Amino acid sequence: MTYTQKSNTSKLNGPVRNPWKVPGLVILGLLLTLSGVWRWKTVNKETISLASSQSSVQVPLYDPLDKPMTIVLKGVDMASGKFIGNKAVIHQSKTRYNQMKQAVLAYLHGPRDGKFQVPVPNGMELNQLFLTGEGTAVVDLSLGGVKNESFGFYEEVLFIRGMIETLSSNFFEVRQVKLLVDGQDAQSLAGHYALGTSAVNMPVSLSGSKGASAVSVP
Amino acid sequence: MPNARRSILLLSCFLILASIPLSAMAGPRIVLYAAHGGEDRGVSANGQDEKDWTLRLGLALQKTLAADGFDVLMIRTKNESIGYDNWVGQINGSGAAAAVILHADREWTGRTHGPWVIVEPPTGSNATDSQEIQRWGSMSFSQYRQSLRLARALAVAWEVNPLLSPLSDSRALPGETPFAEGRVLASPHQSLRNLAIPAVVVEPLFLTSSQDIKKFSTDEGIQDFVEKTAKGLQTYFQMSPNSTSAEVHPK
Repeated sequence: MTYTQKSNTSKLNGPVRNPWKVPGLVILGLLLTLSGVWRWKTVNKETISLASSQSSVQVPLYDPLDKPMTIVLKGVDMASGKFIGNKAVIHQSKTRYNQMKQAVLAYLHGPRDGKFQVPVPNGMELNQLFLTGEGTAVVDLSLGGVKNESFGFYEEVLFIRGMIETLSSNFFEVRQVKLLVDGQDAQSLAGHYALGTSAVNMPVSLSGSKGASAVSVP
Repeated sequence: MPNARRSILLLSCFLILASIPLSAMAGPRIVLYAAHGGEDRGVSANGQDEKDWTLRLGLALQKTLAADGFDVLMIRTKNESIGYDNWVGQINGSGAAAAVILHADREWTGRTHGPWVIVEPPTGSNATDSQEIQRWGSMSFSQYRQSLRLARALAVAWEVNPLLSPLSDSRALPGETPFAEGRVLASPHQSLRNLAIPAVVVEPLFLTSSQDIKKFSTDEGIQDFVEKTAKGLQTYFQMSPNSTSAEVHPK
């Protein structure tokens, strides 16, 4: 009896008394490892939003001491009527996102008179700019100050082509451009040019042709 | 007996002719839509509204096409606003062989003038990574090619370059060579994206072009344009002038 009791005590308190303890720890360890791998993959797969303009509103796009950087804006040469590139200077800043945003702002606020003009209607403003991991530049525009009757289809085509080529010719990361209007998918830019979306409410616009750098505007 | 045989023959011919529906005797059905109207003025410039020009040109084109043997369905005949779903539904349910949507345009430099013809580029692309952004509506490649053929027939009739403009969407470019003077623009257009038949947007004039306003301010200018447009449609349908369906062979 005593032996039996000792024997039982030995079985209960010994290192191999609980047959589930070691496999349980192994399974727990495996689960933690798997969840870590899953989280790492998910984070790396997520859209890379370099920064939002809201955060960059608080932080300046560049430091005044940053070196100048030359980019090419697309617009219309008023003498020849051709769609051409024209040099503009932005600042090298700490992030590519800040450079891109400076380029978009330079395009939107580009010259409206003189020999070279950007095909941008007065009143169009940038709300947000994002770049996805797939190379889609998402440009969220505000058209609050733009009247449909003063922005025709041909002007919309020129505007979009200028935006696409300004981004794609200066930033190799940009593979296509998507437009939002006031943060939303819109059926059209200003009544004529049709923007796109998928059935799951993924926006928008067209793929950019990186073809001819100068096209004739008859 | 010969008389009886002749009577039977005549009666058979009559019955055969009577069994042919009248619609088959007419030319191909075309839908015309004069864009905008009512409170929707379209674009404006120099005191001109797009809605007035599209109606004026549309009515003239309707008359000429009807005289040339087309079965014309005109969607807007007066200064009224027709909802998007309404006119798109009318076009898709019309049983027509093609649709022509009339617009006028504007361009701030004043250098650009008409005519232009616009086709909807195909949905999808040859992109290998299938990362293309999706669009509302869909446009099959075959429908795009039909619309492009119609656009080219019109451009040739207008005596302008029928190649694609370099401003065209890249999805329309495979197999095409853009040309600086090309007057066919393949670009997403709100008026075309949900149409299920071959369709084009025709822009005869730019309201910002003094050259265009001068030309279309005369009846002769309008008549010249609509007659050339009718000729382009006849070419598309392989009709001989003033023919009926017996000579029509739309591809």
